[in-house]
Amino acid sequence: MKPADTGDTINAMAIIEQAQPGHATLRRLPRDLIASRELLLDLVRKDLRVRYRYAALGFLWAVLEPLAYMVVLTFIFERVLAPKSGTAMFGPGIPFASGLLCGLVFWQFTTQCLSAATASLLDNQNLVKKVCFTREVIPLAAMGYPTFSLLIGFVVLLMVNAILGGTLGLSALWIAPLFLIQLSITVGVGLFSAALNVRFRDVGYMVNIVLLLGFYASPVFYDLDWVLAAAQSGDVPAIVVQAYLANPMAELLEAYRQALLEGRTPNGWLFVWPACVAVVSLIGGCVAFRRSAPTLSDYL
Amino acid sequence: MTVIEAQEITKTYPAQGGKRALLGRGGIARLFRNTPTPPRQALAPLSLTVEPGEARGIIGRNGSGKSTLLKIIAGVSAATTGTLRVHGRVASLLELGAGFHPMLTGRENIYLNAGLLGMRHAQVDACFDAIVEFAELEAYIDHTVDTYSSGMYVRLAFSVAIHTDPDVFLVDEVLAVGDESFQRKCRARILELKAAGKTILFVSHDLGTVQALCDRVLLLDQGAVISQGNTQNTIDYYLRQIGQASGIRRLIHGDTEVLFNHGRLSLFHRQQELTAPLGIKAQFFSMEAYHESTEANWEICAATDERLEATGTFPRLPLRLYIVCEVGTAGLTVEISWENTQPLDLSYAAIQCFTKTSYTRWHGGAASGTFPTITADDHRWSVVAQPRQNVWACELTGDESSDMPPLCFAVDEAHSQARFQINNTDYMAQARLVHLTEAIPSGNNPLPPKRRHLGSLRIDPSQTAEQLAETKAQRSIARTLKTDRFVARLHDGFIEITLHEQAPTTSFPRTWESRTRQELAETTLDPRSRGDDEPISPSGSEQKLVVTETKEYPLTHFMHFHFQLRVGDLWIMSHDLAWSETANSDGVLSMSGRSQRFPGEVVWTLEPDGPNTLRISILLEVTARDTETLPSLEGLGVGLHPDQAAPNPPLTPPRRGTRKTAPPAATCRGQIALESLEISEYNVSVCLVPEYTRWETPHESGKFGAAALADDGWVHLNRAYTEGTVIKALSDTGSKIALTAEKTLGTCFPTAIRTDSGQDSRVLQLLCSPGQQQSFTLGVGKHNLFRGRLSL
Repeated sequence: MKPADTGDTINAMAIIEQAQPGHATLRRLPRDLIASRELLLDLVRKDLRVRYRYAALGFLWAVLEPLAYMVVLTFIFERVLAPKSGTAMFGPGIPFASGLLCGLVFWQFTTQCLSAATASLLDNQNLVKKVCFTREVIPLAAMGYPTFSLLIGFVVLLMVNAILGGTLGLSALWIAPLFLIQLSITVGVGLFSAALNVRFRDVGYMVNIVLLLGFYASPVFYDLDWVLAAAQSGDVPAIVVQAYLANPMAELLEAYRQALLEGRTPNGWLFVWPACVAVVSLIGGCVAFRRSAPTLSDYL
Repeated sequence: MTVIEAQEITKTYPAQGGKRALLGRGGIARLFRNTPTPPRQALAPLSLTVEPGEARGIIGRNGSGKSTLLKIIAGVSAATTGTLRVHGRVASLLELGAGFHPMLTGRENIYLNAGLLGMRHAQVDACFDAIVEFAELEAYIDHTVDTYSSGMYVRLAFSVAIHTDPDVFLVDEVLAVGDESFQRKCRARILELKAAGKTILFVSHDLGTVQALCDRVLLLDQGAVISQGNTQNTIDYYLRQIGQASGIRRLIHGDTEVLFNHGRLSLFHRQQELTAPLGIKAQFFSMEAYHESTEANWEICAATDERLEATGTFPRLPLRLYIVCEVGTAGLTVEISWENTQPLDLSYAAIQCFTKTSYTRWHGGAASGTFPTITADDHRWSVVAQPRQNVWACELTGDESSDMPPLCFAVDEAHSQARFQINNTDYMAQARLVHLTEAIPSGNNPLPPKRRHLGSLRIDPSQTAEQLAETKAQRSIARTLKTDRFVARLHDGFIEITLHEQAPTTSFPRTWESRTRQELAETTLDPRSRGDDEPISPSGSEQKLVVTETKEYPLTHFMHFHFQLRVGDLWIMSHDLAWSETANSDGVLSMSGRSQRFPGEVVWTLEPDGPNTLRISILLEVTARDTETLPSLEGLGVGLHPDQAAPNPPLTPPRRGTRKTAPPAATCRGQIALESLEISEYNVSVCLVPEYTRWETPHESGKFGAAALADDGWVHLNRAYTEGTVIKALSDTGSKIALTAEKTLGTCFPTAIRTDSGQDSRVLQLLCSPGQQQSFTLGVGKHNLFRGRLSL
């Protein structure tokens, strides 16, 4: 056996492994991903390039698009809907625009990632059917653009918050572990639904419906306390509240808001359930994807 | 150490429909109809080991599992059961440019695609320039790929794939990419990789390429290995057994066996294939592209064990082909005719017979020679010999050691327009090619719809060379004229000059190729005797025979002394004519030649003048013939006039009203009779052996020089065309030969010509041009085209 010319036997080994995906194990996943990191970046770059190549404003759209989306939603909820409801949607001292943006930016990330990842294998079936490479790269690359919009959205959020008189404390550092949890959930579910969508094409549509429902069933444009208060008052059956809280995004979005806008350490219980979901979904998603990877091309 | 090791691998594709309708491509409707498609087993348990540096072909019908096997080895799909080990990097050329995105530039796509094939940026950087250079896209590399032509796209994709430097290449039919020259480049590159010790797995339907490239072949059918091993045997087996079911017909008679496979014929003799995998097929040039009989959709109209009639229709050309082939005691007879259903521009039609390279010698008419060996540098087909048109048969033979039976290709003489050409193919095709071509003058196009005969070819593997020579001698007329110093042999429209001397003189060193011939003394005693060409057998036992040994030095070569006439678009050559003997008196030799396409008769008269000179005269008699007998006169520059006696003269006006000659009474009434023949130029030439190194005209002189490989056709060596009547050739040893004109039509220009290396001759030519006039207009009657002499 001749090692690759640059002497990186790891790469050569990875390809031997790829040549027999039937034996691709979970243990090898990190190594495979490291070996194909450049490919992953290339695919993400391709996605971004292709999106804006022939547009006159070019890359500016990457900023304008999420910005316009947030402006429209903020306008609708703050100017059209909020006055009628009459109550403050978020905690005391938090402007509606900041509260909404905080929920929206992080919620959009998960939504965009999941719908893009689910469709990714079908969209790239000519690659999957013809070329052998680490299959995980495809759904992961599909999450590149949402990550990019998240960054832009986050910058916008900070600016809006500053303009509206919000301050940023050290507690903002809590968003790092929070985002890690959210990312794990998103990647795990995304891999799972991507693999599943190849066998059951209905999955793609179901994912989109669930995400639409999730937008209202997550504290995006209202506060979690609002829901908890309604539960305590007995207006809503306890089982519905339990179901609501089973959505890890409910806790996560609340925690983001506490860390960023309220400037305090998020409540401990907000971490527990999402972290459990994250571990389970990440492992489950990777295992499911690895299992189906060798035969993906048979179903495409 | 093995590179690929597969043990009992199977592949079953999942079911579709039924209860699992939600799976894959199934739909809800299927769920209710409950019509499941059963799981499809694409590969039965299959074991395979491939050694490093091996080129393994995989052949089989469509759906036999070839691509599935390749996909499993490539890692695109996993085997259902069994184990597979692949050592080393694998690059699959399963589909070129799969990862290309049209909106990215060529540069970005190179990095992306190479990344998909397992390369890192640093590795791509190292060979980026080589990739671009190979794809010939230096100028466009920063343009987006959607501005590329499909050829550029594929070139770039192939170039990336080939530069990934893997240990194992999987190639699936991708060699059929790009234009002809790029295809050759790809093949050459694949051969380089093979030479560099890479392992190649090659799936193709192009059996010729498989044979040229692969060391061993795996034959798959219905997912199982049918045969595995020697390339030739496996391909033979495939053609005979597996192919049978898929529209391939087999004709058999005695030892001769013929396979008809969608417009391609393969010939077997005693189970051994004589034809190359490309077989025998027809080819046409139309609409600026070559079309082959294998591209047509074939329908077998009638078939028995010994006879087959098939009709082929071209999908994109209003052309229909009819093949009738028959095997019998006389070997294989193939009759091909073609019909255009609409007016069609077509400039060329041919029957191509590709044979094994174990045939090493060719014989055509009186000439014969050895095929050059085909080397890896041969990217093009090369002409080995182009025998004259009225050669009705040519033959290929193998080495003495080979067991290949001599293969005789005979064409029916009535069909005199076709012409044999004997070629070598390029390295990948690895075949000898006997080409029966028919050129259609451009003036005739577009051709009106009509069924036309392309040729009837008889290929006889059972006929031996001796039998052939015997038949040849019976048919071919040759007469010889002798003087004390040389022999002029007039045959097939050539005059072959041979010097004979009892003892070699200083002017002919021993290096000069000579042959020794035993002759009857009686014939040598009489210098002007003429007899049959081969007076070898001492027939009369009562005669006292003295046998002397003579050294012979051939002075002429290849096409010997011949003439060419240009009539309209066509060159008519002396060897295109059918020659017969006319009444001869003592010491003068005379022969006349005729052709179906040529409204006249040419009479050659040869007369010795002293021991060193041969007087030659060429007389052309234009005869008035009614056009019915001249089917192919269209396109010829002949002037016609309507018969005055015709009750309804056709509206065709005479092209030249002057010099009318009364048509002979024999001309049928109401038909157009020939009035004059227009010859735009003509020449007489003598092709000399390469021992002649220098040439001399009254105005210029020079060296012939060695033929360069790059020479395309004949190279004229004189710088100016100056009027003159004599041209000489000289050898290094001082012997010379001169061609002198005493009387010609128009102006005469001596020209020295070097032929290409295959023909390897030095040509002295006297070119006769009408000067200011457009052409020579020759009315009915006799015209002296040339009177002159050839002197040593």
